[in-house]
Amino acid sequence: MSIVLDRLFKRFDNHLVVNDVSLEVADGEFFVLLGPSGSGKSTVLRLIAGLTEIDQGNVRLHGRDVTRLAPQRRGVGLVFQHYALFRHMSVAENIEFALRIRRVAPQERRRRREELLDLVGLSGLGGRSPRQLSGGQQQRVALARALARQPEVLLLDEPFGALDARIRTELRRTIRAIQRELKITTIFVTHDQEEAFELADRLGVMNFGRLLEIGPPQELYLRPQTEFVATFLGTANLMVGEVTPEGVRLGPVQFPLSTRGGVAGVPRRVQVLFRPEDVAVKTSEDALAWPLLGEGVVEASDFVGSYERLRLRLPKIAGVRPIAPTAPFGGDFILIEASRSQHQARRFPLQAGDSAWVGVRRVHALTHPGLSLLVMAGGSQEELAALDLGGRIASLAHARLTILGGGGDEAEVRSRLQQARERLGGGLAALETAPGGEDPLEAVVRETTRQHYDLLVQGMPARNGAEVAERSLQAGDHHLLLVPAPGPVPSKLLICVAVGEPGKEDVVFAGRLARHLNAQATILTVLPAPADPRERERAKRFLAAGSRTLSLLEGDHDLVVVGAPLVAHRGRATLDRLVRGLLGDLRDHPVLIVRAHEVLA
Amino acid sequence: MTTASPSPHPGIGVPRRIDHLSEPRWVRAGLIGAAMGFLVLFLFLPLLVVFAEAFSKGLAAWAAAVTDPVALAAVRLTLLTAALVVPVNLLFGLAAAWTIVKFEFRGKSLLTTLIDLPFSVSPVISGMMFVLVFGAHGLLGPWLLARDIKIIFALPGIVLATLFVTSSIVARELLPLMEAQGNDEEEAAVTLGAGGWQIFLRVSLPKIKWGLVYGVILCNARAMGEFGAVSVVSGHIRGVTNTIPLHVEILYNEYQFAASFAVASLLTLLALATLVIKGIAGRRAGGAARRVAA
Repeated sequence: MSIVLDRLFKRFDNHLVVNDVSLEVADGEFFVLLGPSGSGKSTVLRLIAGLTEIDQGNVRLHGRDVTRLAPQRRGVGLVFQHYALFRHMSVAENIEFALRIRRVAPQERRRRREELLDLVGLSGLGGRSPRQLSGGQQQRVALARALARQPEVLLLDEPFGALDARIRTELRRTIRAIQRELKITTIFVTHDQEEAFELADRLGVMNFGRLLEIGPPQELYLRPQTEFVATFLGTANLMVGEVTPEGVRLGPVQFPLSTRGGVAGVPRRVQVLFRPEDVAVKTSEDALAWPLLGEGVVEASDFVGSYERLRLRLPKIAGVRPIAPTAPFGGDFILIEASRSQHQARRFPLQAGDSAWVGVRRVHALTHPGLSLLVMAGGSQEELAALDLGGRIASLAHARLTILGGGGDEAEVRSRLQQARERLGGGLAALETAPGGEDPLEAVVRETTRQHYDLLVQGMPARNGAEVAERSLQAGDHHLLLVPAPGPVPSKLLICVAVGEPGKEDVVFAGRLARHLNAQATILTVLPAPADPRERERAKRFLAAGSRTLSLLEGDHDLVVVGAPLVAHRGRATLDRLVRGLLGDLRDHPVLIVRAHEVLA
Repeated sequence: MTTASPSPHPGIGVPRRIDHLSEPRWVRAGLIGAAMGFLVLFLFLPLLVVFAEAFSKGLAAWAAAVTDPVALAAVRLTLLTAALVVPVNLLFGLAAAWTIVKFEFRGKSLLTTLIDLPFSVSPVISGMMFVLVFGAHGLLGPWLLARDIKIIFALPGIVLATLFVTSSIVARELLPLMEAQGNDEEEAAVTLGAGGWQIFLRVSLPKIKWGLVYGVILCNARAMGEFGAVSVVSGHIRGVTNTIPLHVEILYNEYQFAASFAVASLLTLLALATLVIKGIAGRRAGGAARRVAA
């Protein structure tokens, strides 16, 4: 392995810029780090080059630990976005700089310089000043300069960022050719997807300091594991469906599994991806040979060169919630992105307003379901605490976050949402705000029918905590995190488990959360499903002991997770008495109520 | 549009003036006239007067005034002071600008503000400060007196006062230049294997070379021409602690106008020479800054 990064961390002003990044790059490999600006990819390069100090973790180059080694001695060639050529030196002097530092004989220096000028296609321009060269030529000089002392690895930090499209393509080929010729291990940082796809042997996608996925470009495009990668690479239709032993279910439509990873047992919620080119659009139902999604209306059709891009609007499908493309707030329909070849577009012309039948050729189920959080922003202290904790969890878990405006008049809600945005600031994968309306709970209902949420974060009022929790759980099918007061991000979780199948959910969900928060989890006790009164009593004692333990070891556990087997009472889900009691006891800890499958009383 | 003559900016023609964005002719003429008039009234006219007065009694009288032993002593003292002050301030300015631009530390903004202090304090006050510290009745006066060390009314005092007054000039010239240039080239040099001194000598110093020259020239001009602070600490001992500006004042107060202006013309010549070099350096430094901006 040429480059090995082992759990790198970097913090700037208490903000995690590089968050647990591990990576192995093989000898001679061309690796591309792709991500939006501010995702930490350039910082990773600087950590490897030694220009930025590493907070935690190790960097090994060719088996040598260089974590504490001075940048001069790492044997790394670095090319900067803005060239960073020495302005007062000629092109030749720039290229020879590293050799001069190493006291290479003048003759050898000259030979090497000519060789490098040749390599980057600038023979004869050695006498020029960098100022007399175009941007593309300057970057070629920078490349030659970085290669002069034959570095073991080459790092390129958005080298084409400041150049125009045509020169970029040209330089891309040059760099790829040189890299193949020299067989030098290379990491190339870019935010340009096309560049990444064209250059990379393998690709890593970063966002908010995390290296989310690594793989060959095609693999990441066709079979991404995370929501961010699915939507960042290309255009994505992403919906929440279910995975069953038979395959993937999207509302009424069943797809045989196109990828591995079918699960046994109960159906599990899963994010389902299909690309625009996987969407089949026909003018009649019979003509569709693929699983049918429904009949829709063409919203827009755009000519984009070699293909046609369609945006279709489908009526709501029961059991399907769209993630991307996002439906406008309050919209009661599903948007689908489709693309057709020009040949097809000519044979079955479609214009905005036409109706069409939509089928899906293949789907891919994401194995890493991204967390999706809904926070109710209100003015009270516990609601602000909920907003803070929700924001921090979202940032750590790379989760989507939507803030609901809470009650009050319009101006008040708007200013509150603005404040909430400023409070949470950057570091969030996706932040949306939505007005609250008169009744906050109604807003939750409206929002959760529009989109799927895993978790609702809410302030826990000093009184009637159980009633509030109950009503919030009734408003959708999310789990619930109740925050009574401001506090740190939980680092130790206490999970109270129910026996049997329902209990699994709490452990799974709490485990996911613990992994995201880098927190320890303790599974405390067994809480039986409400059946035998004696067992119930015992469980009650267990739970009481648990809460006592918690108050005894003050500060030891800072989040309690309880499974909530919801009891349907007069047609509405209600909380078990045990959980109600627990909510009354735990006033100073946040409580996570994990919804289990609903049980009939 | 094709032009045969080589233009310094190929591809960019002289932009046509857009009528609604340009002022009426009389406004332009008025503004230019006002600026020129001001220059003539306050710069050229006084300069002319200085040289006219200096040579009013003929070349011989001018030469006599300039080669007078007391005048020569003043010139020597002035040159000596400048020779001592400028290198020290060069180092200080470089170090201060370097520290402020390249490092993050507590009290950075305080240091940035303090660097401007000598510029904002009246020179007379600066002189007074040194008298209060080193003078016979000052803070360290008795201690210095006991050891027979003379600072006030002697060369050390003059040098200290000049040093203080001119200390911020080099740093102030370098700060904006270095801030605009950033750290990219140094970082590139690091990855190419250069050590600290090599980076400083081969990369950083050449980058700020002309800004530095500009600062040094300004510093030198101010050091030679400083009057207020030096006047307070010098004691006006003829032929011993009088610098050129002080000598000019004394001659003037003694109604030796021709001699006074003759010596003044020396200082003016010095200033004009400085101006010319400064112009050259300024153009180079400005070019460097423009290249950074481009």
